[in-house]
Amino acid sequence: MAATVHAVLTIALRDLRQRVRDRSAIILAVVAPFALAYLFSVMLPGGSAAFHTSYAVVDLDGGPVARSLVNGPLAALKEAGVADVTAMADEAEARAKVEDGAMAAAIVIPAGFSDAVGAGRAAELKVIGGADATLAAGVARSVLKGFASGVESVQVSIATVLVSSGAAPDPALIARLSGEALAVPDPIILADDRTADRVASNMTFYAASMAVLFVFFAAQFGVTSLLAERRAGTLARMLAAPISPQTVLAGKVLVSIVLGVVSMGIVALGTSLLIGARWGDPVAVAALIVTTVLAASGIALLVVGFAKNEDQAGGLTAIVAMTLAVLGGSFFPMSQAPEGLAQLSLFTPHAWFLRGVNDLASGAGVEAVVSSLAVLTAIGLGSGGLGLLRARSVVLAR
Amino acid sequence: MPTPVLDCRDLRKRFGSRTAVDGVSFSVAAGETYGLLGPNGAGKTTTISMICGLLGRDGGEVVVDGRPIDVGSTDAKAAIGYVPQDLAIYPDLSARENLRFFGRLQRLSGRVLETRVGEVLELIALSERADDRTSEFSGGMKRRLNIGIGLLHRPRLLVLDEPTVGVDPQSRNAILSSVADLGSEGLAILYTTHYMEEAERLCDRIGIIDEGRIRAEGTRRELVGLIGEKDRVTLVAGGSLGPAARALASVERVQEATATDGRIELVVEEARSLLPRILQEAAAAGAVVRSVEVVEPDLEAVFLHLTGKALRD
Repeated sequence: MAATVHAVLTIALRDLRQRVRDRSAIILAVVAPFALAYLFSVMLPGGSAAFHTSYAVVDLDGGPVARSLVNGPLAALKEAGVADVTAMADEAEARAKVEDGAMAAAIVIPAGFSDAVGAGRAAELKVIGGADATLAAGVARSVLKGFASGVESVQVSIATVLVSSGAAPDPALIARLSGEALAVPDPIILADDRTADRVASNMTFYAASMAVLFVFFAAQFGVTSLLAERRAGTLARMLAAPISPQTVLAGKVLVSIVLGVVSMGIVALGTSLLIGARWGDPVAVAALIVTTVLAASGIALLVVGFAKNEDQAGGLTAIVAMTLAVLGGSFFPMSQAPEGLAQLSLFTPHAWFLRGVNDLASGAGVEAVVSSLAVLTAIGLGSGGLGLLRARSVVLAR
Repeated sequence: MPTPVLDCRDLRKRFGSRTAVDGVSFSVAAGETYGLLGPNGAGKTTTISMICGLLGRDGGEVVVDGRPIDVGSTDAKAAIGYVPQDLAIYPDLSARENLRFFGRLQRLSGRVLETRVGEVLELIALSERADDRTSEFSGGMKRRLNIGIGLLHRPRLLVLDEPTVGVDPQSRNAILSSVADLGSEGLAILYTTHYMEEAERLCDRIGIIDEGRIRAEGTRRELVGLIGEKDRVTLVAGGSLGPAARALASVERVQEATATDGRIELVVEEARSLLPRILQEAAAAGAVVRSVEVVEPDLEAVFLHLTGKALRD
């Protein structure tokens, strides 16, 4: 047993030494994921990052209903950190701010708005959207539609009460009552705590997604060298020594695991220290990394089992890694993906790793990632088991 | 015969519908160099791979140093030093690092490993370049290191698979001398080649292999004897050539003796052992011998006789 462990370590250390000398391995395993994580997070805002915009509000009415809009839904946007809301004196100023990009959109409450509401007449609210801020304008319209719906409900209620009491409808009274009614907090608060909403910051998301994408390239270095050594004849020479084929395989798989853990570990640590990624509980992150590397190594071993040479293995690994990365949400958050793709992503290690990171980045502990750890381990053992069977034939093929 | 270091019995291997090795049996004793002589594709490397436990076999048995060997055998393989045809060394490592790596796989460690690495570097004349990367080595230096790795753990059986393929004449000569020295030191050597001259020069016994089968086996003399060809001796001489030829024709194992234009041509059995007698009889009959040429039938002729094709086909 000690001789076997010694042989496994001897094989692994030789390969690791070679990889350290090989700059391409360092670039693929560490530099590329780190650089791409930074670039993606800077160049591709949105995604899992919190939405934030700015609105100009022009209240030309000043009446009670207008005040309830400004102090109600629009103030709530500000409180929630969704938008900065800036009051402006006239529409021309607001339009100019939108046109020069200082504001994403402007909301104009025309004079007589409250009176129109009180008289039951059609009342107009105007949204001026910037050319490059359609999402911000869309959000503003959605908020105003919700407010209009509330106004309509209040109008109906007040009119019903006045008619049933026999009082004459007084537009000023109705406008005042509408304003007061709209200012009353909603009796029912919808608590929306879907898991999909527990998302990591943009920086953390791309750090994690690039780490899991490139760990497949890092992990392939170990097992792919089986094919290179078979071609060079050094594999046969190793097998002529008093060691078994399984010992050689174990040495190669160990190299894949070490390279994968080092790659993901450096990316996690580096992005945390240098570009502000927040991965969460270190112990849980470490467990996620180890199980993800296990899965990547297993899949890489399986790929090697079907390849004729190291070039073919490299090509196949790239195809598999990129396909899994796209399906698994390495390039965009699964929370924005169609339902079908989101379901499909659950067959990839990427999705389970990113789901785990999302949970941990949101402050959850290791208990929140147990399912991710279990699935990743299962993928690693399953693919690795099949890979070992295939790779043994690679070792013994002459 | 002492207990052989290597004993192969009825080895068989098929790849799909093709039979690569078909009932190969032979043995190699300590201090003996056994040559497997055959053209490319004859089954030499497949046979060696099964002997070294690198390839599973469909039938037969391999025993090395008293222990059976198969794929998955570990301890028994320690008795074998394998020198593959390819240069199975790491170009990114130095000669010393290559030796250390394979030495560790052979379960050497610590001072024993370092001592042995130094000895082998001396043996293969690479001590001065020990710490240079092998990617900077000449072809001959790489070949020497390739052989040195096989000797590192002091094996009982050294298996060399065509170690001189692609080697310049000078390095080839050095390799052959080294192998001959190793054989004389008591190592059992299995040497495959398709070069007749190497087999004749190095091997105590030779197995002629073709299409996966041993066609004949024995010493060079025994193999040549199989085809009935005799040695030819030419004496360049003066004096009484006719009487000398007649006298020589009566000598035992001389089958023909004819005098022609300053020469006596003889057809004899085992010319080397009979040569002193021939010279003595020729002188006694009045011939003045100036030079002697002995032409013995070679293994090329044997191979042609046995297989109907040339060795290098």
